[in-house]
Amino acid sequence: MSLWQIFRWPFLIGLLSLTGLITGLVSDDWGDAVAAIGLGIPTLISAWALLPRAPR
Amino acid sequence: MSPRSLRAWSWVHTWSGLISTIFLLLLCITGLPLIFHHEIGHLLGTEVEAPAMAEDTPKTSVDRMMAAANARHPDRIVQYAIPDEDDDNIWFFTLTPTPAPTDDFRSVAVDARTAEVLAQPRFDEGFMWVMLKLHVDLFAGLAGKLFLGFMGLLMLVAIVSGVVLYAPFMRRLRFGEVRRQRSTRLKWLDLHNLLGVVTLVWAFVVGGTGMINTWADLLIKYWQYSEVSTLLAPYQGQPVTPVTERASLQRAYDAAREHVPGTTLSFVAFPGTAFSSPHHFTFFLRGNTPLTARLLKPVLVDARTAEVTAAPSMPWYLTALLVSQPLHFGDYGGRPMQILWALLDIVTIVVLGSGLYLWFERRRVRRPATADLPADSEPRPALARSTEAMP
Repeated sequence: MSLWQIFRWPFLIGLLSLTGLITGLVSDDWGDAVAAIGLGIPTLISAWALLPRAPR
Repeated sequence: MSPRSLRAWSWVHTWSGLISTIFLLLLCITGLPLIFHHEIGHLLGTEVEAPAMAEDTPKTSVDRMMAAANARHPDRIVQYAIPDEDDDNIWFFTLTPTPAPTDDFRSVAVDARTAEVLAQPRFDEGFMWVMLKLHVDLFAGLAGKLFLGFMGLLMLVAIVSGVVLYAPFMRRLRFGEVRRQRSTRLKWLDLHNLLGVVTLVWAFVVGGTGMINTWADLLIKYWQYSEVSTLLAPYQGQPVTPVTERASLQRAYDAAREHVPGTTLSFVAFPGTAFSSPHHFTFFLRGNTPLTARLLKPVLVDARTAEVTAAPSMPWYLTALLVSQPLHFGDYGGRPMQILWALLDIVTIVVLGSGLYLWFERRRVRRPATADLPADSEPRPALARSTEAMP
């Protein structure tokens, strides 16, 4: 896999997180919504990864 | 990446992570209740609340409020006056034996409409205070703060080296793939990599801003020494303005507000205290937009005459410090942001814990005398371990 293929998803998630962190600072309405999405995605991925799975 | 570089980065990641892990775990665990300190305060009944009155009830004078607070502790002096951020009907007065910084302080909450004392909350005891002290300075003052700042720096090094190592580990894995059917160690290695990389930006920002916050005392001292001292040249050699010779605090407050209209008071530092000069009431005013509400504008008002001496702009490093604070506390997006902050904090605890587990496992696997190892965990050289991680 190329570096881009390895890092494209982490890069996108990182960009979303950063956007969320900053927009939440500059706006109290739409900024908070963007912040919730931006930080909610890594939280959801983490929760999904940690969910216990039944053995196949 | 050459095997030599891979080994070097692996060493940096292992040791920067290992040295800081125990302290970062402590910071994550103590930080968790601090995210909800208002809610916990309400639950424990330690939050001060003003009695309900008509919306348009006029405010009393700040001097009356200060007198009411001082009457409870006549042997002490007021160091700071702080309107409650959520309810400007409540003001907190901090009283100490002298203007010098100290842990021996009393707080008095006063109703801004009636000047009645509402409560004398103790901020220097109880569960939340212990959490705060462990989180901020490990009960070791400035040395503790700087030590934790260094641990924050090690965390940033561990994050950067983790990103560098992510590529060789993920070369043959799809994003999000966790090999649960192989060994427990492989499962936790994949989880460590996945959770670490998806929370990377948040962890870097919270870690970085936490590190900057540990320098706050030094930055303020530097500002006072380098910039404020120039403004105070005319007062050189004069002692701290005695309480009996001070002008009305309300007059000084009005002068400060008139000087910088459209702002809200964050707090007042009294003469001789760490955030003021020996001769001034320093009013720290903040803006009214989401961003400017985080930035402070100091206004130095002569304590004898109640006239504005100066309203210096904050230097860039203090502006950076102030902007970094909400990014560390996560207190700027309401309840959803608090919950996300707490969840990401928990994920970070998992990343730290799994890192520790992986290190212990690797040591166990390396030990030749260990007879009860699974077949796939024979001792292998460092680089073989990275290829072992591949399917």
